[in-house]
Amino acid sequence: MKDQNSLFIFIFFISSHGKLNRKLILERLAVESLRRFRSVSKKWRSTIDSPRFQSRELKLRRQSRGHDLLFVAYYEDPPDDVAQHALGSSSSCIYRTVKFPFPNLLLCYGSCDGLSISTLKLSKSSVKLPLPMHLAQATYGLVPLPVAILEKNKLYLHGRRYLEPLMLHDLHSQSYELVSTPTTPGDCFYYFEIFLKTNSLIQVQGGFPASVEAEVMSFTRRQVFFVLSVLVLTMPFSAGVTNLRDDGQTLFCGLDDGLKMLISQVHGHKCHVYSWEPVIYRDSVWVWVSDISKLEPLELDLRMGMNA
Amino acid sequence: MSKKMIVLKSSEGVSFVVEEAVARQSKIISFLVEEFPDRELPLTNMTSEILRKTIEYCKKHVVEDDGGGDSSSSSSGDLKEWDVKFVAEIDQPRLMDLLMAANYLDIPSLLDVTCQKVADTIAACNDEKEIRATFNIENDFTEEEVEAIRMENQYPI
Repeated sequence: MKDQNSLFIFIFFISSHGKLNRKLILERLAVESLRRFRSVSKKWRSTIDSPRFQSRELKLRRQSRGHDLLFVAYYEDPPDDVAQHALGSSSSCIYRTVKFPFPNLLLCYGSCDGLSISTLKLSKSSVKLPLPMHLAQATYGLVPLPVAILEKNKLYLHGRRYLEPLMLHDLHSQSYELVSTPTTPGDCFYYFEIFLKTNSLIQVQGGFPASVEAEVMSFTRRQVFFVLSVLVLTMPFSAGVTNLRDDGQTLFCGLDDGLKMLISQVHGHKCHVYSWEPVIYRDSVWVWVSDISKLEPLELDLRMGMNA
Repeated sequence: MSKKMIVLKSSEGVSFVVEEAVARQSKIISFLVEEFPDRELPLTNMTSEILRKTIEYCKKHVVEDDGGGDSSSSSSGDLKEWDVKFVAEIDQPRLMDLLMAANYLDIPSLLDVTCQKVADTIAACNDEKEIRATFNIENDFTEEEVEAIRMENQYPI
């Protein structure tokens, strides 16, 4: 029989350990609120800035949304005859590499929705359609680049230059529709290009009605908010853009669900995957970044498909 | 058949007699009841007011196992509505106390509704000053630090 003292000691013990976890409340807030309220106090800031909190936040958001799938282009530099692609998932369980027997550079546009795949082949001066996965044989001599996957089966296509017209391509009906013909570079509806200059800088160019064209973002910390202050995305933005960086080491692609993008950095044959979650706040786009490969062992082995 | 009752004592020494099933929604009390049966449980860091509120919540949420089910007939939709009303009627300082109590006594559902209410309150604040005022938080940043955060955030003001 335990005595009264041990009861008191026990109650004292639990009451002194009943400290409230600030995270319990903060993790319920939207990212834009968290951003604004970093300046409440030092404790708040350190909670919001902590990698553990951010990882958990990302995980919670992902759980509420389900797994993401992405399709990224990966090719060696100088390019091999065979372009290699990685198929990945944030769930870390579905990934593999696939090969397409297409010569030359391939730009690959993936959609999360059933992983419908569209590829475009680049030659020196123009973009031509290869044997299509989903995209129909072009009726155009020069095929424009998809700049965004608008919704299911709809691609915004844009030329390589600012002044080329913007078209909407419907994968179902395989029809093209002229959206707009810009007269000045500023009229360009949407143009998105990313360069990784160094390990710490990403340059983003956007051409929008009455918007500036370039913005340099810092990429010095692994888990940090970025601002793309000049990008004013027109909703719904569902990009399936895949880019390989100049250094041949970094992939950038967008997922078409939930306004998410992924950056992968390839070190050797391992892939670090950063998840981006753009947040529209006032007139800017903020990006919530987290290194997914730190949350769970998500390592895409890019050699996998080579022997298959 | 009489139900087993247990006695909870607030920090002011006021005793509350509650049905065991009601009190057992707290994992801590559940544990204490097993470890220290037939004892009065002194909850030294809970005021009578907060303890009363907590018990009110637990009474509403108790699930009867004996099939009688007279007090738990409310549907989950009704219960949610009741929860919303329950936290809406509590003022800010007491809501924080109740949240702490839910955390301390380990009552997950009460912790959930109180946390959500607090999060909603935070989200409704226009700026950090309003949050500090609402939650009585001291601003421990210097002017320079505030400016630095503003630069980091760089959102249009």
